[in-house]
Amino acid sequence: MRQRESTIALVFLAPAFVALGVFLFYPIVQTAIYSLFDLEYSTRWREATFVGLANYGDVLASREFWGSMRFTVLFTVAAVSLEFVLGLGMALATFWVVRPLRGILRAIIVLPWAIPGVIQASMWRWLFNSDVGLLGHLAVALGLADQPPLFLADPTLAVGSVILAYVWKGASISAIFLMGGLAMVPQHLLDAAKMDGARAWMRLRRITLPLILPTILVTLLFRTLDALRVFDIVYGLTGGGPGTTTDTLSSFAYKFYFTFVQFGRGSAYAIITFLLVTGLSLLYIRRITPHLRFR
Amino acid sequence: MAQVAVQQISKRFGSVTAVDELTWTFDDGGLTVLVGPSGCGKTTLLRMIAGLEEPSGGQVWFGDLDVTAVPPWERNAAMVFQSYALYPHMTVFANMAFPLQARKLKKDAIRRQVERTAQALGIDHLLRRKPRELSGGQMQRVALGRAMVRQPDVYLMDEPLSNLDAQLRVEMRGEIKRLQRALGVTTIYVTHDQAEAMTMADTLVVLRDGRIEQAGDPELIYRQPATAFVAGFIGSPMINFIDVRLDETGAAWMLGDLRGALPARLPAAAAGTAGQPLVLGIRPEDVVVSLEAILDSLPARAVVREPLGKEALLLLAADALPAGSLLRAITPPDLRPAPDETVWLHFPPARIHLFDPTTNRALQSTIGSPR
Amino acid sequence: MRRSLHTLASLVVTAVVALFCLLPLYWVLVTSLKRPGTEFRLPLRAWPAPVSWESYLTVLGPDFRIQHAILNSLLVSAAVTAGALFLAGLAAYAIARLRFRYKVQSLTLIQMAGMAPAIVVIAPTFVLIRSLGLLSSLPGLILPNIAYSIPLSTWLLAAYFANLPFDLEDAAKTDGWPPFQVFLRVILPLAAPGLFSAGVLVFLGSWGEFMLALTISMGLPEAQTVPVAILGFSQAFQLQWAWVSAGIVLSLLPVIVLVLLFQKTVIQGLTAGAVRY
Repeated sequence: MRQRESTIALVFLAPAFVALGVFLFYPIVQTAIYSLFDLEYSTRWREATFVGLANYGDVLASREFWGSMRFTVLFTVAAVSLEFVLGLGMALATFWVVRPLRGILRAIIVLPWAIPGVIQASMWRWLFNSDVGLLGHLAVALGLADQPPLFLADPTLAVGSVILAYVWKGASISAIFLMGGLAMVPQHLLDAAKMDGARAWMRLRRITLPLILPTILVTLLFRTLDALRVFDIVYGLTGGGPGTTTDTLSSFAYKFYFTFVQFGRGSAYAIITFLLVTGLSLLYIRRITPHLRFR
Repeated sequence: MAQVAVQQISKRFGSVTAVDELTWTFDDGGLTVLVGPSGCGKTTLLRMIAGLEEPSGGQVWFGDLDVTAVPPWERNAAMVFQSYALYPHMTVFANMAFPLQARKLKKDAIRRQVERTAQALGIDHLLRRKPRELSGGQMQRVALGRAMVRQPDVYLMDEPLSNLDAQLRVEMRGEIKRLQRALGVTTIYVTHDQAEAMTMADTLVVLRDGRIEQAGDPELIYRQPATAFVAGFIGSPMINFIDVRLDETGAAWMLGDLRGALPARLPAAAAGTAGQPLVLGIRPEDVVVSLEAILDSLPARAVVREPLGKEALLLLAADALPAGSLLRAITPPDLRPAPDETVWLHFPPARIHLFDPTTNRALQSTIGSPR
Repeated sequence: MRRSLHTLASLVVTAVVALFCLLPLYWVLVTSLKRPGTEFRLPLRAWPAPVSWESYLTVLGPDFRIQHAILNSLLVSAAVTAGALFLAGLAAYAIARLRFRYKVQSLTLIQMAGMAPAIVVIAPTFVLIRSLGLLSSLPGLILPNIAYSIPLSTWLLAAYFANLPFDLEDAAKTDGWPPFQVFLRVILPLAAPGLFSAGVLVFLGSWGEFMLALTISMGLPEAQTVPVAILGFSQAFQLQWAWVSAGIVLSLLPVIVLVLLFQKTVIQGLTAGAVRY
């Protein structure tokens, strides 16, 4: 019986693994192979020179790599913490406002999540426009600036702009995750805390947050993984500019591929990104797997 | 300590009225039990007293203070929940310390107070455990401890024993009652279990459809139910209801050929006009069952006999009753009619209750009248 | 008193959140309704006067044909949803309901594949699709996207299947039905709500997929999906923001409708499995 069941399982799993194999596992291995060859303007690695880890050496020695690495890490830390705070605030709000508003609020919060990253990038590019951008004029109207700032041209502001545009969507996703966690906090525990004399702040700090700690961890890990892989917002908003100020690991690797057409180095770049993300994703998967109970 | 009162309090959820302009003053220092079937509004009433539910109208008073608009954390009422509502991420000690921390007590004062309360409840050896490592009875005690660790004005208990097994439940009834006596703090206790309500209450309040059906001393309510509903709800096995009518003299009830005197406590004129239909209620333990014909008795057949140990429950069918309806009677264990053997039932006049079938109210009972 | 204060504060909070979440969308809407050529005129107004629908006609017209990209996106997302749900459904059934060795490892491998950054697969995928002759074609987009959607949908469906009762399935097995029939006739109908919620998420996910779409479409309109088309617009017409905005508004309509209709499903789906404790 057991033998038979594993055969059936194998048959059921096979199609999915074939698809994953062709479009994910195989390309990852292939990229790793590319990264060991001197490839320019071509991916015909069988005819190219094997260079061992030289591409990795080149990448790790380049200023651009460390620049994009630094930006990616800074971006990840800033974006994930900001979107967590905003997301938590919004998620709590959906449970706090009077009942008739809750559905409306949830719908509003979910909207940014659904908008494709590149389209968001276009929207924000218009909002950040230095001549007639809404945000620039708002900054002037609020007395924050004398004239509309050059959001995307000034290196410091560009970093902030990319983070803001990314956080807009990220806060929405974080809020969705946290709403799910908050919905599972039993109401009777909050009632008990009220009866025990705990005011809102104490209930949040001592009851709600500890109880949704698993959700918080999953949210932070998931969002960190996403931020480390970020591509579309950067590509569409600044293209990595000004210069390479806002290039992330992914967007710079993409330039290596399709702008510089250096497949060997680009692949080394991609593999480094992959390893970084995979380490964290193992943590993430370990975290969520035990919650599924199987036969 | 305070006298808790509600005044014309109401709660509507949409078109449903859970509590309907209810007014009651709870005994200061006593144990009042709110009892009724599910949906009668008892839990909603308790939660409004707690402040967890905002009344749609009316007021809640703690002593001279109108606390209707006071949030629960400022009311100084302690509550024990059906689910115990222990904080799963905290140890027993932290659970019990929580209300004291909310009151910003000093650390060592908190420790002393928690330890003293834990000792009184016999849970001092559990202080370092998490709730999931406790048995049901232990969780129950911790929940009580968390309520008792401070000096609340009032204890509110929402079906605190319904998650325990039968034996432990009986044990904890006595324990809670003993603690309540010792502390002398006003306690409002909600249950749907009429036996629990009877055994625990100083004052019993029977609720139905968001209103008080009858309230007062539990034994008095048992003996003198003001309505057919109360008679049916309080007491187990359930009281028998039999459709009868008043005879032409107006001084006796009739069921087929059987004719019975009205209770002496009922003035003759109270029953109404001749021939009027009435509902006769008689508790199973008040039915006299005889194997031989006796005066003023109804012939019946024993259908089922359920031995209960010190007594037995007989289920009886009678020609004078509608087909399919069975009477319940508690009999001594040595009375053993054969299946379908004819027995005679006598309803002692002093023990019967008569209800008006249109209003469902007891006829002119003078004590424990409905409010 | 306490109540009306709470109502007032709730309205303020909702307004602030709405401002944050909806302002960019609102501004795009406003821009799309400006007369083309007036986008750079100051001062800025909260509502364009006069309202002009010209840009919408332009982007729907023969030079732009945004509807073509929207149709492409709909076709790709629908095909990806169907394919991914089928493959992931089978895999999730095995993981959630069958006993076999290396189950946790299989699930971990699938999930890790889902976490891989697109950048690490894009170059070989491009080469592969080119050798299959599928560049600038919808199948060239659909096939890889099915694979990309498998990890998330396997996860969601496994979580859903695991909670279905075993009785019906056991009864069907006892009646002698082969495993695939049990899956098809018992599990799938029972799991309809779970399939639906996973389907909505897969659909939205492939709707927004960008790197592959950018690379495979090769800048040609045949296989341009909405994200690529919009990016192309906004790069080609740096000054005609009314056109670009109209394109954005039209291309967002399907997802906004989808999200508003299935807001609850989306929230439950996204948090399923990941947040239980």
